[in-house]
Amino acid sequence: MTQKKKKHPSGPVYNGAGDPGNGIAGLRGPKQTEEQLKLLLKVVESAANSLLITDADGVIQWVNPAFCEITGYTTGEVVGRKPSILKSGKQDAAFYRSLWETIRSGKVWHGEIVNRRKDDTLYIEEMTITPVRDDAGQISHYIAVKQDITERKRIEKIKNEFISIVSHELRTPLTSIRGSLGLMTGGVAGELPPQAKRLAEIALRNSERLIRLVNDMLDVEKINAGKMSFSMHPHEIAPLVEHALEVNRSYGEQHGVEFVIEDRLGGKASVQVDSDRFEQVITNLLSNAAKFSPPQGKVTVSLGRLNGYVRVSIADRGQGIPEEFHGKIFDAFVQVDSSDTRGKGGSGLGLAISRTIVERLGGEISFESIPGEGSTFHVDLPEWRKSSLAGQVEKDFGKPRILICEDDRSVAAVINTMLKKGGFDTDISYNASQAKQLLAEQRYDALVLDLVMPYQDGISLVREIREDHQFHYLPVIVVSAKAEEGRDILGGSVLGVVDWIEKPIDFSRLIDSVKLATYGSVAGKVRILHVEDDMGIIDLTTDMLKDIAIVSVATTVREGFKRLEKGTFDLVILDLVLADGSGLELLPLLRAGSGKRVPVVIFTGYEIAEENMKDVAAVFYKGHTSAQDLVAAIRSLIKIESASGGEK
Amino acid sequence: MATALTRILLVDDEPDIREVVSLALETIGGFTVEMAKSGREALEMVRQWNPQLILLDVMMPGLDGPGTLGRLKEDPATADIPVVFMTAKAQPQELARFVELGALDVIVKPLDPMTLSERVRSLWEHRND
Repeated sequence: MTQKKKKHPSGPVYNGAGDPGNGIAGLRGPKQTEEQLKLLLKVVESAANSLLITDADGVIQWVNPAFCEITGYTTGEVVGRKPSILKSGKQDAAFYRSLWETIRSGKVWHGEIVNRRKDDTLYIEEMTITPVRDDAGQISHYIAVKQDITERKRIEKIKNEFISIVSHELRTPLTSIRGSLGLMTGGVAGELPPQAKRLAEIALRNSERLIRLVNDMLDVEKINAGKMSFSMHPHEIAPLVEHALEVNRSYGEQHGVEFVIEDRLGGKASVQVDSDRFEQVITNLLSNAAKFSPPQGKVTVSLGRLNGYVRVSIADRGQGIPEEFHGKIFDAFVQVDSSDTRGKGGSGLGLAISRTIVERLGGEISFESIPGEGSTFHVDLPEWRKSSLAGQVEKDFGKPRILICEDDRSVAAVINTMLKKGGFDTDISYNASQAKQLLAEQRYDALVLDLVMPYQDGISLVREIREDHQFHYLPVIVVSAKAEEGRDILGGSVLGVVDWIEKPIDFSRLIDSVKLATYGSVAGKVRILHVEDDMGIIDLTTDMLKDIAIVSVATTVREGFKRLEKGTFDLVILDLVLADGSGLELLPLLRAGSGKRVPVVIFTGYEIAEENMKDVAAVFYKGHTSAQDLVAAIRSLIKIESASGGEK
Repeated sequence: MATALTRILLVDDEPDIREVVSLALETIGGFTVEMAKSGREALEMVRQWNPQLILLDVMMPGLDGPGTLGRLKEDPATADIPVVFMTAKAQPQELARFVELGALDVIVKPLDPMTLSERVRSLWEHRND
């Protein structure tokens, strides 16, 4: 340490040049420096946020009064010690490791942390730690700015629990009310006198309105808690819209409004959506349109295409939306005219919920409005194309196919262009759920993944897909502003991440990584195809060969064929008895063509006939040979092959 | 397979819901309905009365809906009786979890009494699909 450790510096720590950074307004010139220092000291000492300064080793040098107030420690008790005295045990070692690696690498760390006060009680802080460098560019100090958010968290939790309980407690009596009224107006309890029937109908309609309100509140709570889940599937759009219209027709009739559909698609078009949630959006837009239409009005629902999107437009001929509301129409609890609300009914949540849903479906919602003439709401969803159906793709053994998962559309578009230029076929997903859907439908050779995405982050996506054996070895290339943090959390190679690329993206590195992942032709590694259905063996060989080879895995003969047709391999390991046949069926394919002979190693639990042995480099029997021995043999084979490789 | 659905056991701790739902099932669907107000009572009724289908509330004090379903599945004599949950909880993950537990389906409250019988009959007819 070149920096002298001061036990209790009299002021804040500067960047080593004596420059306190941003000047304070009104104070200029060298003579004012002392004034500035005094003023700054006052600011930090009177700040409500707690402030802490450590040296480069994390030893506390200085704390402000707010720190003492929040933690219960005096300055004397903490200076010279490490912030770990506040450790609560609520975060694991990996959390702290990641934090330290971030700040040691010179980056700012920001996050929430549960800490322990001197009196043993726990509190939650939102914290930003900034490294400070000296003249030589070495990190000399760390400054932490912390805000106690315990109370905010507690209130948030209470609020969410309250909404959830109230909603549930409302739905239970509503079941009886709506049920009784439904049976009465349905004539189940006998024919009602006309006036009584009308009153029962009013009560029924209003109980249904209350149910919608409760459901909206529950949806908002789900959205806020990040718990709204989506089950995405490809659907043809027209039947979905027609169904929504059918369901809402009677609501339209209540308002004397007719729903008319205009299909301008000129054929079928599909979108990938959660059909219930999609219908919820259309229902909301239809009910708004009906509410704001003049009596005997017409609401037109049109279907069309726009720039690769399918557009559903719902147009009313109402009063239109006043200009002053245009900027906030999708905000929660916004009513265009609150005096009108009682007449129209509604929570003011519908459009906010609709926007969230449409965005989660990968689309956009917008509107146009002409005062006095009406409003049109547009829902644009990416058109789902049949070409991404797995069945059709099997024919295409051409370029490796890469799935991009990136929520920022412009970044996704740039990655897409670069990969296409690099000779890859690509598909884009804008969130984890779209990525999972595409992975289920289509075979990919690699996944280029952003880490920070809404709803489900990249790390949790990698963890989830790795649980599925199919994707156990799908190469993943992380592209993220938080690539380093992600690597710490995932623990490097454990989850088979091929490369971690920080943003802004170095595209030549990205292309190299994708090539390495798909062709295995970079960095001198050989490419091995392992045809085996025992995941234990695959795990072992893949792990033991990872420093010299890119191992592709096929668990069936069929998959083996696909792999061999798509890529070239330097060596093939074959199991004989597989679910759909024998690994030997692949031999003719390996012997076909005039290229280099691919050495084949058989690793099987069954005896192999003499005539099948002539074409293989080696045969090992499970039970007699361990996976370790197999790997050792393969390593030596690769050496032999590469030594004679010049002749090919 | 050709047996028609006639005997339904309705289990709910809310007396009003029991009354409304049973009225709907009896009057509109023409079913014979017996009622239980708790999971325990339901288990007894099942043995005595042998219903063809059980409409089971999820949140009940004591033995709740999923707990009751678990008991029914443990006993080979009752394991095959189709159970349809009724719940005011509408989280899709929860609904999926109920089906994983072995429920035939989940009906979300507030339910529509006018279409309930038709829905239950359709679930019964497609129970082996």
